[in-house]
Amino acid sequence: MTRSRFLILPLLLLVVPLLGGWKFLSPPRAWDITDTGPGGTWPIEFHAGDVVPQGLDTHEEKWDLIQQSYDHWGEEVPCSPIEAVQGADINNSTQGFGASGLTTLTFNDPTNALGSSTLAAALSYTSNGVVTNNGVTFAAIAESHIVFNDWVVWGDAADISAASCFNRHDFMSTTTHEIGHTIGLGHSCEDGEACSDPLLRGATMYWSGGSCSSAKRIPNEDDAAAINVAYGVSIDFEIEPADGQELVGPAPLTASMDVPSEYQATVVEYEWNFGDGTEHIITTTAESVEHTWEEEGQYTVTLSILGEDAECGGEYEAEERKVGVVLVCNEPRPAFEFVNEGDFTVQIENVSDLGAFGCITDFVWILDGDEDSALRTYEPTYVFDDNSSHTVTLRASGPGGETEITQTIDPTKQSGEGCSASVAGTEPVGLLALLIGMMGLVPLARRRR
Amino acid sequence: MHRLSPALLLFALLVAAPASATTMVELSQDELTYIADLVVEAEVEVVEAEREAGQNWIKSIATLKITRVLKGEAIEGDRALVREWGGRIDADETILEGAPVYTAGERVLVFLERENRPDAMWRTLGMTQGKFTLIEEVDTGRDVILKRVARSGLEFVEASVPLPAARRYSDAVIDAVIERVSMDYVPPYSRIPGVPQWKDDQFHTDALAAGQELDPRWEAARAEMISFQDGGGR
Ligand SMILES: [Zn+2]
Repeated sequence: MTRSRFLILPLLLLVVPLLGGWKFLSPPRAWDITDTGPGGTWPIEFHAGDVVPQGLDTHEEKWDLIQQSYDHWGEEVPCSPIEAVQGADINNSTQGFGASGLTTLTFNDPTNALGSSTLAAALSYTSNGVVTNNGVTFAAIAESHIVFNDWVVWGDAADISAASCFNRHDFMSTTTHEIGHTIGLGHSCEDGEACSDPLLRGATMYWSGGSCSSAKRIPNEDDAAAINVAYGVSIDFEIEPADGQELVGPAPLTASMDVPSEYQATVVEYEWNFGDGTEHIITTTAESVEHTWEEEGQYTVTLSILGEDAECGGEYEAEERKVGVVLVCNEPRPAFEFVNEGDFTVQIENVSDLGAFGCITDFVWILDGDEDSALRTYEPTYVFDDNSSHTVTLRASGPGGETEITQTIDPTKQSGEGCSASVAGTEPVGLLALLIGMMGLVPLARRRR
Repeated sequence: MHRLSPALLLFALLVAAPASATTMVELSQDELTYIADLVVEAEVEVVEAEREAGQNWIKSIATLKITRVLKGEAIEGDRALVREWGGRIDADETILEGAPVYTAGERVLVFLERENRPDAMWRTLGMTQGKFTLIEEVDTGRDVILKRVARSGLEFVEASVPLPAARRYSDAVIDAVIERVSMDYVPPYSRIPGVPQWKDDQFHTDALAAGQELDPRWEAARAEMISFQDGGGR
């Protein structure tokens, strides 16, 4: 690994919150679909609390909606073997998350396991067994439990799609999401964070859901990719930057993609989508393909395949997406303005174009060319002792390179008011306060710790 | 997988590692502020895993030393015990995707609610939604808030956490919380799942007192929920 990749990759992982895509629970766990027959764990036999969840009409409707939610993972995901059958009633008031030897669903949070804003939660227990699929080793799930919260009114498909829907949550969307957890899936985006990729926001495994929405009822391609790795036929590819380049770097950026031989056996067609609107490449053999990204952006590379596999019932489709794997950056465009707050106090406003892709990873402020007193902050405030002017340099850096701009600041004037600036982006900000002077400079006091 | 006899299954479950996850309703910052019983800046002193009698799952109890109170009945220097799903005892680990993880040495801004049980401790409101990690910007001493922080080991080393170039400072969030609390601000009413009835009643009353024009459908919806609960819905 070269030095620059070593530096940039960890930064990106922590700094760019947009990267995502399906995840397994950590550590990974899955059902053993070969454990069939008497006493086996497969197919999943689910048991439900002996109450009707608020908002549903009958026990039959409850059982039917749970069955459909399981079936979504089997029937709506190409090549998925997920299967579940109805078991019996259980005592709703005592079940909850406790291990009981059964897979259960409990309603109205009778054991007070959940807090405010939670719709439902799922928990699974593993045995000592392991399952291996597509090179991933999973702990074998022995039983799973879903608990639905209290103070929620549920609805069926008709209730949720009705124009009069109010304060109801889609029972099937939530159940399908929680079942996703019980078969080993984590969230498509980090909890508590906005997620810009519509595919990940629209996944059944997205972390939040609103009322009167059925958005998470049917697993999408992102969800399907996880199921295929854990339980079905999956596909994968490798992506390598061209010599002297990194997958995160300045435009233009070139990389090549290859499908390892272990994934080629049943594939009859490969289709490559580079995420930048250029034409897809379609091949019938697993030849290496190369692509150049010309413009700034964060790009997802998707390989969709058509295959023939008897175990999958003949023809099948599968897909692998590497979400945001390529980040192409232009040179940073730093810019700042300043507001004179009186008493020679100057508040800097950072108006750099941050772009949508996290292409700026560092800002450094240098006063009067003194590198030793450089500040790493987003927007500094300078407190001067007199009215003499100073130069302020803002240096922005990132995968696209490093750029700096310098402006002269007069502590008695406002941004754009008679000061020299070496870049654009200095609009007048308003009127000033000004005064006479003493001398020297008081750096902004450190606050504490 | 090996087929397990009931006895072996019981053993397997005892050494098993439960994992779980949730789905939730997104809370706005104003909702977090209003619903929370306690909003504080604090330092995590210690985190201990507990397994309750007769249960296979593990929870973790974080002891928070409060350094600043923004809302609630507490003073600086008090300790708040926060209990969350997940933790490890020997080889046995419970993992809950969606539950906040506290690490000793970490500084946090947290929105807390009381657990609904006899030996109630605090619980983070809205799971990860109610917890922000504070990281000092070395060059200025200002605190930056982060939602996602990679953590490893038992001690949180603040200085090792890299900061993004564009930063969200804690002052803005804290000022907004203080302002909302001081003016008794009531966010637009809605029936948030899992909020206990007494608190929802308060929310409803406060919203009306604040002059909010509530959707007329809330009246029937609330009455229906209360009668369901009273009718032994659980
Ligand atoms: Zn979830």
